[in-house]
Amino acid sequence: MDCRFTEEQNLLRDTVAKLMAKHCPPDFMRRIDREQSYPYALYDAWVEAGLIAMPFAEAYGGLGGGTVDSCIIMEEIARISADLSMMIGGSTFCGLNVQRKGSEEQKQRWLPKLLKGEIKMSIAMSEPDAGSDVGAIRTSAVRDGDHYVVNGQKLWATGAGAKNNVINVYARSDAKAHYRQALSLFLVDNDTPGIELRKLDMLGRYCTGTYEIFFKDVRVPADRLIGGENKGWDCILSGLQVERVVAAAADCGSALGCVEMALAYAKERKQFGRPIGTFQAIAHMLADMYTEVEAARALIYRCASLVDHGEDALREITMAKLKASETYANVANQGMQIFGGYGYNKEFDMQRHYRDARVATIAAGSSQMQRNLIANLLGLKAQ
Amino acid sequence: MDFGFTDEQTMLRDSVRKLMDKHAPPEYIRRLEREQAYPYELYDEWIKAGLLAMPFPESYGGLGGDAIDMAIIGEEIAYRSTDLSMALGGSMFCGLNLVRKATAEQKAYWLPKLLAGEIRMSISMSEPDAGSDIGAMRTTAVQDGNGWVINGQKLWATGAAAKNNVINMYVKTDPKAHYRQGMSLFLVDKDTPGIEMKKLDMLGRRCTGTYEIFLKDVRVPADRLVGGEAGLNKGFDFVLSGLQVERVVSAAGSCGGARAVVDLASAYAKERRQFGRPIGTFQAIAHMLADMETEVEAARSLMWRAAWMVASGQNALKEITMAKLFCGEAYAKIANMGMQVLGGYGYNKEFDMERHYRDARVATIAAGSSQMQRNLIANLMGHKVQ
Repeated sequence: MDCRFTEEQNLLRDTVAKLMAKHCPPDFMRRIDREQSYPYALYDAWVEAGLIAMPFAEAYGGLGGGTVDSCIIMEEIARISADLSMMIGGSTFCGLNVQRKGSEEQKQRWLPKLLKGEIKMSIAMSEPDAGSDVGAIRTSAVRDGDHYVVNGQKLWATGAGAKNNVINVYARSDAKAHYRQALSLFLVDNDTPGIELRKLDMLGRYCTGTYEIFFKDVRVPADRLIGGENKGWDCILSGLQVERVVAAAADCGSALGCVEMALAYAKERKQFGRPIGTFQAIAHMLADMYTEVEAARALIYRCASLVDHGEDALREITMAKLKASETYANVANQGMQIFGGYGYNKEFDMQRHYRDARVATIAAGSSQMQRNLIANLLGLKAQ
Repeated sequence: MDFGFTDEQTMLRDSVRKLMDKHAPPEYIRRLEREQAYPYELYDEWIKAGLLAMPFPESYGGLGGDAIDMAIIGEEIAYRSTDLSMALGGSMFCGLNLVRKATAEQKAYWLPKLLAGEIRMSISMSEPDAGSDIGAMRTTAVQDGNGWVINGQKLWATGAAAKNNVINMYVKTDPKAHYRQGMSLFLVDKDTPGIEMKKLDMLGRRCTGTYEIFLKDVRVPADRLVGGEAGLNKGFDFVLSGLQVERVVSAAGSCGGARAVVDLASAYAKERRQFGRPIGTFQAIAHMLADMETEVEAARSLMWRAAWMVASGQNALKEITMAKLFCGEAYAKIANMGMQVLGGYGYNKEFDMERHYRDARVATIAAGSSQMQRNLIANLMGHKVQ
């Protein structure tokens, strides 16, 4: 047993923390949150520092990092903003999917561009009537010569409207088959004719942006089909473990950010002649928050190391996603309580965490779906 | 990074499991529980298997194991019964205190006997008015000629009356000094004249037993003062020196107990049918079990990381305190949910769930209450909590 980070991993953490402090200081973060704008320069700084390239194979310009490395990057970015962590998450997860499932030509074509920051990637799976129930996907892709024609509507597409973004769209290429044999994955430029994007007004995570996408006779060249026709479900499954543990790492980072913020406030803020953190009522809230976060972190790094050792960790990872997201939502709520009126005020960062945190238990598989999966892995066929 | 066990650690875990399967099957534990009897036969098996000797240095007959080995043993025994795990814990923690703090003569005299199973050890610190507030201790030892005379009263002394037990008792030797400079540790045979013990009727953990001890002019030879002259008034240092290992093993015990509850509840939910199907196929029940399992694994991750930190010689006070808090709370919470899943059967004494429910309740109280852990964590976060 060795739960230590390597020297390189500690260095990576410091690098990301320093990069974020320099390129995303509190004033900047507050401004882009207010303006709901995508921080392109920050994304470029990540590219330059090799953060996007980290988990990719060296053959495509990657740095050959492991899951623990990805977790560290996500944790440190999300410590500042869970919203921004989704920008890197989109490109990383979609790119890894291409690396696993794309043909050699596709990998050579897409990955170097992605890692150099010439393009970004985002995922589009959900639809108005297809959330957890992926089988209800109705957006269709019909073969027409050397193209596919995509029609339909996607919802909750994170980061879809960013400049030079390539949307990774899951569509039904077989109208009759069971969804596990009917979905296909396509890479679609977000400015392809026939695509209409609408940025949605959400409670939080304003900067990466959440979009509704309308596809009307969108022609997609056949060489943009990843993983083979009707093999979309395999693509989804192949990335699930890494995506969930890295998403859980983001939740941990954000939760830690909340605790640090609340901790600093409780040391500064005086009431009844002393810092409020010296009252047990507040001190014990902070002790519980910190303990919850460390339990979640211990769980995710155990999972990440299991994945890096090539072990099947589906059960542990599902628990990590559940625990980390619930913890973020929970500590953000408690942080609001500690900050009192200041927490509720938009000049302070706590309310942003409170808003951003609320979707942690909903996105990337709701807590309810995680519990169903855990229960099934316990041998209960939950209905 | 590697959260996995070494082959030796996996072997240790498997051998403790096998030992417990063979010598502490469910019927055995139910019988002990009914009779509120101390597990003498099982304790002897632990000795034979070297479980007590595991963390001790080889020079005293030990096996040179570390905090991870102790946590493995603690978790696997507690999986069967957190009550029984305290019988081993008492001897282990008190013995390790001697390794750290006793004189060479004392170690040579006491440790081989302890590891051979000829004697047992238990700790006695709390008093009617001194729980978390250790400074309120009033039991005193006064020097008298060649020895010491102890007077006072102790409470919640776990396993104090077991056969051949030596009570490791903290008393005031300088009542005027601050307690950090006024406490000493004595080794007192449980049947020394002047000692009267009463087994207390507790909600749970009824086999190792919880005792009240009355001490009336109990004469203790000078060589029973741990650390000799140098140990006089240093009792608080002794308490602190063992804190990290003790808390991590306590956390491991809570994890073992909690894991057992999830397994019991999960097995029940697969068997038990209502409305024509196993109750575990209803989301209402399935999600309770998923949450229980998730809490246990989060607790275990925290506990193993803390154990590893101790084993690799790092200061892990914060991590261990969080592990003690989280694991104790998890066991109590999960036992409560397990009762709910088992329904009337959980409430029935013929089944094991109600024993866990009772045994778990003290996990957030003993070995430092959750409230004291939170104070310590908050202080380590930089708050001067009052």
